[in-house]
Amino acid sequence: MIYKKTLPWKNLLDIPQGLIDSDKDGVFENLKLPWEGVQNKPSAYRPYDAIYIPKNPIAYFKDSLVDVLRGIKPEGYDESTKTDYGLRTATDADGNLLLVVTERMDDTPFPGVKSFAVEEGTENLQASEYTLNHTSEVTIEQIDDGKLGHYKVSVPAGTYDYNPKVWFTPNASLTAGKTYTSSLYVRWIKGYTSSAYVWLNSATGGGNGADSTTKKKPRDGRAYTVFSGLAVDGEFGVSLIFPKTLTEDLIVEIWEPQLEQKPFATSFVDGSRTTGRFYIPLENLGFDPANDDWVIAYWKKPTGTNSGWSGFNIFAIGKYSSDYSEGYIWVGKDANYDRLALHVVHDDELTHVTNDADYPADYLTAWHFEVLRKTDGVVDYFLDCKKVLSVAYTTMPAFKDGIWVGRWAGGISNMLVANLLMSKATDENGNLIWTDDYIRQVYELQRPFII
Amino acid sequence: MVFSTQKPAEIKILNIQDDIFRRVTKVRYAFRFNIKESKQTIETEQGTQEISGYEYIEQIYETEFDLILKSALPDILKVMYEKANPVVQENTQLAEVEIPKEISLS
Repeated sequence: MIYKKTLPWKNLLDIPQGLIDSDKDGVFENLKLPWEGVQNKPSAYRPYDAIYIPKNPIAYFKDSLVDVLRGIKPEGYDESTKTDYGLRTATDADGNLLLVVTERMDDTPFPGVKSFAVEEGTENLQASEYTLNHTSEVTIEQIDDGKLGHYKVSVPAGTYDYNPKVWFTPNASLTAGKTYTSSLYVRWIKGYTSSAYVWLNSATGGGNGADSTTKKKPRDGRAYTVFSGLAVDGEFGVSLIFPKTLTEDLIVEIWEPQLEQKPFATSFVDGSRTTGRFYIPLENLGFDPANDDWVIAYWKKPTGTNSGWSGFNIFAIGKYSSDYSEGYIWVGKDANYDRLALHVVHDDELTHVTNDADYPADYLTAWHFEVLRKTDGVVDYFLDCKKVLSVAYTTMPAFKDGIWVGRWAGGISNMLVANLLMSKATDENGNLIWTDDYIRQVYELQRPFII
Repeated sequence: MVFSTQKPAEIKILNIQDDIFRRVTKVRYAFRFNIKESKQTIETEQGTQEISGYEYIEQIYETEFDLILKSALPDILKVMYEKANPVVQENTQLAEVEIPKEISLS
């Protein structure tokens, strides 16, 4: 077991939680902490919360994903503001990308891990231009802290109306029949009430809410709302409405209004980002996809497909070529068969395997741990530590494209991703680290990776 | 279900590792059953395409054999396949039986 080399416990599950109770290095003699030599270790990652990847002890954290990708714009990257929305990466000593994490506030899919949204095909309409409107009983105060559209909003007791009291209006014209997603961060300062809604609706008149689905997730005194709906012609807004009379004064802070043309509600970034994609080039991977044994592991929650919920939602490496001369592997939901599928080009042919059973009913709505593993002779796909699909091969053509997160041959498949790891599957001696049992342990532990 | 654009061999050896100290050879191999011609719809950047190929059931195994049996492995695997094939056929037929969704006792 590879962990014997690094830690005194026989397997991952034996490591007592909280045994290392501080982030002070060297608590235990003879225990080489995995981040010795690591620069800028992220504060969110404590030893007892992490799964150690022992084969790359010299990894270090770059400032941002953008630095690593050397000019390739990832999803969410904004050229003008140079922001990367909390995406952080770890690389090995040669600068190869190994791990993508983020520093969002959502703590999903489990504590210590924070997801990032892969929103292919998104067209942002909010940009940095908007108009904030409010009715006479509402007072607003701008908070100048760099957050887009950050305001403190005060609403007096007694307010009651289905019509919007505060609303952002984007400087964009919308088209009926297209689908839009809108969101707004809200922090309740005083007078929290579950009867106050943040609503996507017509900014000029109430009652035109396309979708009143409202989610509030209080965490550390914070709440935020994400929702979506179908557009109508005309102005559109992100509004606060009060369908029940307020019994006390209410104060909220609101920021980062977002309006995007896209089929799914996945707005976890502020309104200023440009249209994006998430592509990791070959030269940033620490392995040769055609000839090395490698693993791509991640937690994923699909948020939609290229066609409602009936299309594709996949994770791809390489690209399709009609003569099967280029490396190409994809895995995920196959639209044509409504099944999980593994699609591999090898030996001058194409093999496409779909599962006959074990298709989880919640695949499209819940978080799942997926592992794509290539070893000598077989490409395996694990879902929640169960091996569900395999393709045998003898040789694999060279890859000319890298990893497409949330993309297939020309289409989009939006998703939330957390703890994305791309690495060789073996240690420096060629021994397989990512065995079936190791994958099971990683799944059961539900901890972030640290390198 | 597995679909490949080329007709697969019934038996494919994927990997062999010899351990001369333990005097064993570890073989990873695939058995392919019920191979039949088929068509598959795939998505490409040029749109949806239908391609011809073969559909089959594939089982991948890994087994250790004594090293002295290495030269006989092709024959051993062939015998194993021939023994497994009727069982797979029978199980496939059993699995393909369709039963009514509603069953009345009257």
